[in-house]
Amino acid sequence: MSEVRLESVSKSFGTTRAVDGVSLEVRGGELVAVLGPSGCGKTTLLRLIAGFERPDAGSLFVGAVEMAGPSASVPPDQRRIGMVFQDYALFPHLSVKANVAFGLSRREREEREALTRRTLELVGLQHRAGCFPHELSGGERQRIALARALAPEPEVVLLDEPFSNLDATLRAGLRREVELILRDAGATAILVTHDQEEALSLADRLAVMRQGRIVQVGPPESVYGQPASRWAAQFVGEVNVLAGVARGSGVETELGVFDLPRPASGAVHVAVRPEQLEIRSDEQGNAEVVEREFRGHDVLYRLRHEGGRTVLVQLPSLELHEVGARVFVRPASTAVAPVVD
Amino acid sequence: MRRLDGWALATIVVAVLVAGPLIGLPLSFVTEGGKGFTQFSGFLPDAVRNTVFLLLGVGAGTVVLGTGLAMLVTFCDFPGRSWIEWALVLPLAMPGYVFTLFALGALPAGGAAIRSPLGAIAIFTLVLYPYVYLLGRAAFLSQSRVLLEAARGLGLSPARALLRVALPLARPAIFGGTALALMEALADFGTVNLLGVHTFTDAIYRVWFIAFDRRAAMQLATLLVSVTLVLLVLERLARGRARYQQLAARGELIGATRLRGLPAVAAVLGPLALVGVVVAAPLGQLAVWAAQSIRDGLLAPEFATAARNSLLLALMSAVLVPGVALLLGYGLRSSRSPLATGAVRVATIGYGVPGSVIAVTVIVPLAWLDHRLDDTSGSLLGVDPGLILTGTVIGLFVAYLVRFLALAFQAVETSLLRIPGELDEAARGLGADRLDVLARVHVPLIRAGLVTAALLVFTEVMKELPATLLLRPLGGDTLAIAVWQATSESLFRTAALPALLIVLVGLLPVVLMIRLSGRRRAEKPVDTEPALATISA
Repeated sequence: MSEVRLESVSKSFGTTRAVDGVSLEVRGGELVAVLGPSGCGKTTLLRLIAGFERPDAGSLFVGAVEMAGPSASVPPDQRRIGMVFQDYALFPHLSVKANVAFGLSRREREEREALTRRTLELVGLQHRAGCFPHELSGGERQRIALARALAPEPEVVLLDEPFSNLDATLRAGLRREVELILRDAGATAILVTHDQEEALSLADRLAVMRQGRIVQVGPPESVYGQPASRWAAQFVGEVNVLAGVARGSGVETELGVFDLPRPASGAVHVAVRPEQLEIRSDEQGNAEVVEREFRGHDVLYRLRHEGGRTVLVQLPSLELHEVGARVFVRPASTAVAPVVD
Repeated sequence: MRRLDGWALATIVVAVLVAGPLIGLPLSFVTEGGKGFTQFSGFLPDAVRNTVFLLLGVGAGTVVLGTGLAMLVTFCDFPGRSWIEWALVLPLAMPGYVFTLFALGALPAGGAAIRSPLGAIAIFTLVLYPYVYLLGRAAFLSQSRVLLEAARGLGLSPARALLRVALPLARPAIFGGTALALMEALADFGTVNLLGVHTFTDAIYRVWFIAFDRRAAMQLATLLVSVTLVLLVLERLARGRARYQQLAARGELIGATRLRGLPAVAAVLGPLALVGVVVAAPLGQLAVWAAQSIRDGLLAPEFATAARNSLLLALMSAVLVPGVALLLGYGLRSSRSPLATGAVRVATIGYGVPGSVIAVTVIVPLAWLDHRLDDTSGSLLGVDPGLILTGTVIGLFVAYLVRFLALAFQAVETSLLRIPGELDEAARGLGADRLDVLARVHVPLIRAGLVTAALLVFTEVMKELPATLLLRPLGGDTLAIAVWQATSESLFRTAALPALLIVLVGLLPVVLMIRLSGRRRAEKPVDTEPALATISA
């Protein structure tokens, strides 16, 4: 499995800059999620890598081979890149087995059969080999689409919103399954999604994309814990952005003092995640519970602080506070709040 | 700006070859001074009035009949539905002039009652509605049940849901079918000529054969082509910018409402009566006449040759024309450039042009080429090959290609449009080059569309009259010519056997195709089967 490298890749449609100078490196065997709101250019980015679009500028390398750039333009069928489409795009006239074997037509018959069988086993659907796509469930179609992309042993696998057509219960299970299949296959994979939960739980690294640009790249925990900007903080999970005064390794806000990941000074804004705050019942407290969203394992509270602002707090559902109750809100003991713009 | 690829280039080349002569048609107005309309001004008002009247009548008739029947068999269930469903296709095999032969011979007083524009409208509606019926039915069948259920959930009654959801969704198909029917009516020569209705085609024929004024005929034809162009543009506008690509409708078929009582009886008897009048009664009558003609020795002496000629021409065209249509459709798909789109539109205007005019527009460049070839060959090799293009069937094939390309193209393109672009990309991503995509994804998915195209071309060539009349090589009479000649002389019995053969040969592929698609339906998802092929068994 090869690495993928994009160097200042741009693509415009008319006056819209869908992809605007994107540089990104994906290491061999790594699973990277490109996360962004709809219309941010992430699907175009994927189609550029697959070769369905040509970049206006910049270069794309898979391994050492330049796939697209000023001096090269490899057509999609010669890139050895597997793609899993949002709607799966299974061939309706072919059986499951023939769909999976589609990309293996140039292999020896024996090798083709073996690869098809092995890939079907990898996704656990060998018993559906004779079915046609319309006879499969949504989850099965998903896995067949993945099997079809993996069967020719591609350098890279691209997944375009692969779980968006599945219902929530199916999605969580399949997400884990797809991750295991990809890791089993040792695939370099790039997944495009607008679902932050999906991206955070699945990917080795995250690339957050906005208006055609990648605004942050990093492991999920660092993108979540140390967002590069206020926008990134707000897009990846819920967040309170607080004004404060930084003094060395701490920052003083209206909710109390937080640790800073890096020393700073002066007036700043910091991003505080809801789980970095804690509350206790207090008749003379500094906030009032306005809304309570019960999520089973935890609870999200919306508080009105005495300063007037709304504060989000997430707590385990061990102890519940009623709507209208006065509470005292303060930083959790381990809270580290990064500075954002 | 995308680079021109091979497919797009081939598309443009074919378009120029096919449409080149037609584009030269308006030149007949500018050459030889501006004398213009003087020589046939007497024919023009009549031709315009009758043609417009005919178009309006046939348009309304085929839309109502074709769409109504398509909805009946798709959304209602009644005894014998699966039989009636395909029986309604049978009039496809009944050419207008054969039905006219039957009507003129069978009605009292030599069919005086139908020798009028209204009679022509009735005949055209009866024999042309299958175009609307077939395309409409295929569109209804491809619709997802979910959409109709969504409409029901939003408070619409079943009938209103059909009207507000199913019908608008099928609109491109219905318009497509109607456009085909209208172009067919516009280009018809046999029916209007035999009924004495003076339309454009009839006027062209009379200017050509009575006044021997080729330029005037071409000018009339130019006007006719303009009407066709308007039709084509209207059809495109109706489609709007929508690109009707749907992914698999998840195998959910539209549920049919079971009819009971009187409606069920009407649903069975209505279509049966229709097919009885348009197909069964003429077949019976023709069979009786044919038997009489054989018994009484009234058969024309060239009959056997004519039969063989017809069959060969039809078979070869059924391979040639859909092949070229596929080339065009595929070129258009792989490059949606304005140039390729325009080229295809130009290449497919031939359907509106009457066969006699196509014959003329084709013969001018071919004759020129022929003489060049003959001269070159004579001076270089000392061999005199004769006129190899215009003196043989090659000219005829060129005319058929120009004439029927639109027909085949519609069938091919309709099925191509229903293949989502993602499938191409999926195949490319799996290492298939463009030819691979064609062979392994498109052709299997549009096979039914190709069969449809071949079938339509086959039956059309069997029926074709005016172009064959002008371009046939010596001794190249066809069955259609035999029918027309005998009927115009009121020799109904002599016309019966060739007419019977035209209808029977036309019926054969219709029935075969119905069988074929019925068998296939069980093993494949319904939404991949275009046009005609969705007829169930």
